[in-house]
Amino acid sequence: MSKYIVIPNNKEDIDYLLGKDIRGLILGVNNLSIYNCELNIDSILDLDNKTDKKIIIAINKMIHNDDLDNVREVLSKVKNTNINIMFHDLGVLNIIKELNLNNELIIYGEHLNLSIGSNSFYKEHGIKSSFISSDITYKEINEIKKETGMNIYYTVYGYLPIFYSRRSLVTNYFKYINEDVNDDTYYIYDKNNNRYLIKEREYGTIIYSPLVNIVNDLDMINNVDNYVIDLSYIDDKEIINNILDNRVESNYKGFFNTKTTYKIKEEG
Amino acid sequence: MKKIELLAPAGDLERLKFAFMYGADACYIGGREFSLRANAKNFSIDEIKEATTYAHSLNKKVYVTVNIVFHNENEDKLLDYLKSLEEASVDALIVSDPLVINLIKKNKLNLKVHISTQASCLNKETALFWKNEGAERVVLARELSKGEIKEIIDKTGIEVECFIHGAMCSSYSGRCVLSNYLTGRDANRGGCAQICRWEFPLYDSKLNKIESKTLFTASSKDLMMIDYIKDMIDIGVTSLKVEGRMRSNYYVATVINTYRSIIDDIYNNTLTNENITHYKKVLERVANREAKVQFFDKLPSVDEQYYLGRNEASNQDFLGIVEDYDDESKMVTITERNYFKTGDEVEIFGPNIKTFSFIMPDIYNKDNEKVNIGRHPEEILKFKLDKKVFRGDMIRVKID
Repeated sequence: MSKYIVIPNNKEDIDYLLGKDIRGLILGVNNLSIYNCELNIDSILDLDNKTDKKIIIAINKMIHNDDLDNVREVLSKVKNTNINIMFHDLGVLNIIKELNLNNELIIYGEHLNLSIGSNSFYKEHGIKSSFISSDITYKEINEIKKETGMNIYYTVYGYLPIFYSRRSLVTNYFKYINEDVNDDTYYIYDKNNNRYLIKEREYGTIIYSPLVNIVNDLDMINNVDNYVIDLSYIDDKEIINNILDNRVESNYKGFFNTKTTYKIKEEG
Repeated sequence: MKKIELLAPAGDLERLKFAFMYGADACYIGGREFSLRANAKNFSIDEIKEATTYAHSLNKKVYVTVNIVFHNENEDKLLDYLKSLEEASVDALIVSDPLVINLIKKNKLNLKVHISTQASCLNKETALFWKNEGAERVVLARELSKGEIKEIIDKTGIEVECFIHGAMCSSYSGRCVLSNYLTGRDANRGGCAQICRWEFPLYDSKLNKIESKTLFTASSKDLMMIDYIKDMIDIGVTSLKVEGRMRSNYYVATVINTYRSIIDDIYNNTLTNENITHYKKVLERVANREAKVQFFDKLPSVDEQYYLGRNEASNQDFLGIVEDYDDESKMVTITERNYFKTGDEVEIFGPNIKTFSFIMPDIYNKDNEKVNIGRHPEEILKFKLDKKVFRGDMIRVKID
């Protein structure tokens, strides 16, 4: 079986994707994820009963007090199932422990989990899997895998969330210029003509990176356990066939082999 | 009842001393490593030791930010650094990456931990998680309402620190790496290029440009919680934090002096609407950006955003700092900062005096020659003043 785990763009694509040579799906839970494809937890449980493939639920929205009852209810329902739980907020881990769940746990640290040491911290807390950040290079990822033995998930195709605000930034802008918001997708460009997707949802605004494609470089991350294909906001579900066949073109690789700058100048 | 803590930023030793002089109970500072203001001057270990010794002599505290998100390459020197902070007797570390907590525990270091706002602690379960990890305090995310903050305090018992003044991230802190992608500078290792303040043409889904002379930006106005300090005291917040380790002596002194006055007025039941109005004017004058309440009382809307440029103005209110007062001759010696002249209406404020205004009399240079104009920053000037003032007091343009 392949190492590919797919995040669908919408629920209508799920059966189609499950028919492909993939290991499993990551599915957003209603009102608790940042993904375009969100399902209620009962639908996810039904799906898990129908497929042998791995099903992972994503709880990666920023969690406020008002969300905690929903988190607790969702986690209670996946107790004693094979469903894996991917989460960002460490308060979710508190509830997982309180409910005594034994499901596979995946820490979705996003921009806050970038090192051997921080992955070791999570492992010592019973989290054996890490959705590793795209903010670091493949060499750093390989080091983390080697030193921690974590089961690594890593995005090899898709738009990466790189800015998450609680503010309604699109609505605010159109209010300021006295125009109506009449689209659900907007873009900005950087000076290199890279395009950044902006999505405003009820929980805030997310800006995404240019489309990252590392599918042609997988030999450099052989040790990574799961290659995540994030189809969020990609309308053509058949792109999956091209990705699986290595037939997608994009030169944008984010920080796969480029380090960020830590200090602009060194102290004298 | 324990009085609420007023926590000031300090970019260097001089600013730390000013912050304490003007009423801060504690200062947070960054070392030369592992701090989110990577390009600021920051403190050497010796300076951190000097800062803590000085603070403790005043019965005040120093917290040190160790709040970058670590990469593998940053881990090697961390343990030695933590040991040196322990040796410096710092009162707590402000931390966002849990690996720091692991290192402290495994090496049994005597260091208290405050969880940085960079970790975006937003709910009571997360606060409990950190409490169970031994954290003494959480610096809450700036996106929380009064009700949310109160619930966290009531349900967890952990110390809670909240920002009350200064610049805001437009994003949840820690969940923005725009700087990495647009400039290569690492936002979560202190290199944030403030892309949220940049302006961009906006395009719709068909890649048609939105036609407007106003460009899209995520830029947020600053935070000012002057109207809600009593609410924060009442719900049990432990510490009130002012943002701005890169800010000037004058800014730190003015903002800390103002909030010190408000807090003391509240505890003394002497805060009036008239006072509040005046304090607001002082804070508005010292800032170079407009400030709002942001999330405490409602979700922010268009009024809390900046458009049409950064709307920042250079502040030239700060005229000079008092170096000496001669009781006999009643001559004040100052170091000049911005232009002023004889006849200008100015005021002096300081930690040991009640702010007062006066018309600037004749001005003399260090050779006692009458000049009547101060036009050279850092120049030593003198003038006569009947009211006694003190070293460290500041002269500014009169605020109505």
